[in-house]
Amino acid sequence: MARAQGGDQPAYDELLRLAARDARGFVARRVGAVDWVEDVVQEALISVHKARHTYDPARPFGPWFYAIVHSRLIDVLRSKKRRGSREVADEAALAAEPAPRPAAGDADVRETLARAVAGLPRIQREIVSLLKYEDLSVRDVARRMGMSEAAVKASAHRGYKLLRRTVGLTDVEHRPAD
Amino acid sequence: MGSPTSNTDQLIDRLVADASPVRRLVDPRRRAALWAAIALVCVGLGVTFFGARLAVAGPATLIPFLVRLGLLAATMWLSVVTAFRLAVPGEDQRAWTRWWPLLLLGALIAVVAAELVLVWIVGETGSPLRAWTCVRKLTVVGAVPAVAAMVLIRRAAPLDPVWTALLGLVAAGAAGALTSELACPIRMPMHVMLWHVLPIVAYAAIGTAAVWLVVRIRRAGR
Repeated sequence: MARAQGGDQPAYDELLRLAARDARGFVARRVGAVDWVEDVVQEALISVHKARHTYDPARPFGPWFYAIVHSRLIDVLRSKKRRGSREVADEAALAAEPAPRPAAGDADVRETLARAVAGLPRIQREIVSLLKYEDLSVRDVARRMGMSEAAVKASAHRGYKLLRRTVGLTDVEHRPAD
Repeated sequence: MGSPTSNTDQLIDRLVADASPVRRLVDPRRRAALWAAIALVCVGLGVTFFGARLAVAGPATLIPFLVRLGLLAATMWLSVVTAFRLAVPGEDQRAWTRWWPLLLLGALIAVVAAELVLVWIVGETGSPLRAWTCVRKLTVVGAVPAVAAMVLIRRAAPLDPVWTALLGLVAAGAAGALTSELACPIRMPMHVMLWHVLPIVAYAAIGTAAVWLVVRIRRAGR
């Protein structure tokens, strides 16, 4: 590293390749074989590059380097978590959307929808019915079903998707010919 | 598009191509000493400009005054040393050391609060007079050390920018409060608490919140 600080490119190349290998091992030891190991390795290498002037050659390289890798690992984990919660929020938005409701008096469509709901897998059927036909909140449904709120939202999202697909196709079939 | 590992290899090639010689960062303690020198010059100039008010009524006022000065100076020094050490990767890996400066600040608040309770017991609390002049002194004198701290921290590579900024700002606030203590004739605990000590907490909290927001926006943008 001391040579790299002086601008020795071959030494720096060798160092970064060894560092990448060590970083991969460090991440794998902590979080196992995940598909985003290289994200952490690349973030760590960029940080090593930006922070290379802070390394003191009088001190061992390990603590300096692993502090960077550890920090970048935490950052990537946080960003994965944020992205995960954003996906759950999207599902929540979908869960808040009105389920396909037939127009009043349209007995055919009402029957089609009822059949479609009945055809959903049991958990999804119960969740959709509780949310949209009994107007319960996600929290109440979660409590009644003994599930987490996130799981209820995800299940409702899947149920709506299935329902839209089924009802959409059936609607076309049932549209009266002009 | 190549495999993730081949992408890493390409990244390494780019970083190596960009590897110009760098100037090594000076030891954090020496940088802290440089910052302390700047801060003390600012305190000195502030006290000269606003006028030193060192007169104290007696030992009952002198001892708490000296304790406060000691705690402010200690908070200032420990905060800046810790901030500059935190700004260097691997320099200090013990998580608890970053709490020491905040404990000192807490001790300062506790000392002033204890004084406040004592004077309240004898019924001489005094009124929380508006004293924006003291906040002005603290702000004017603390601004330069705060900017210096941020510049010196940015020159390093803080892995935890929020904590590092918090400690840098506490150090600058303590320098400002040191000026208020030396240039203010009012020694009433209520006044000291509201206009000398709590502004350190307020400035550090606002500044840290701003840094946290910037960090969050940058990370979200990645």
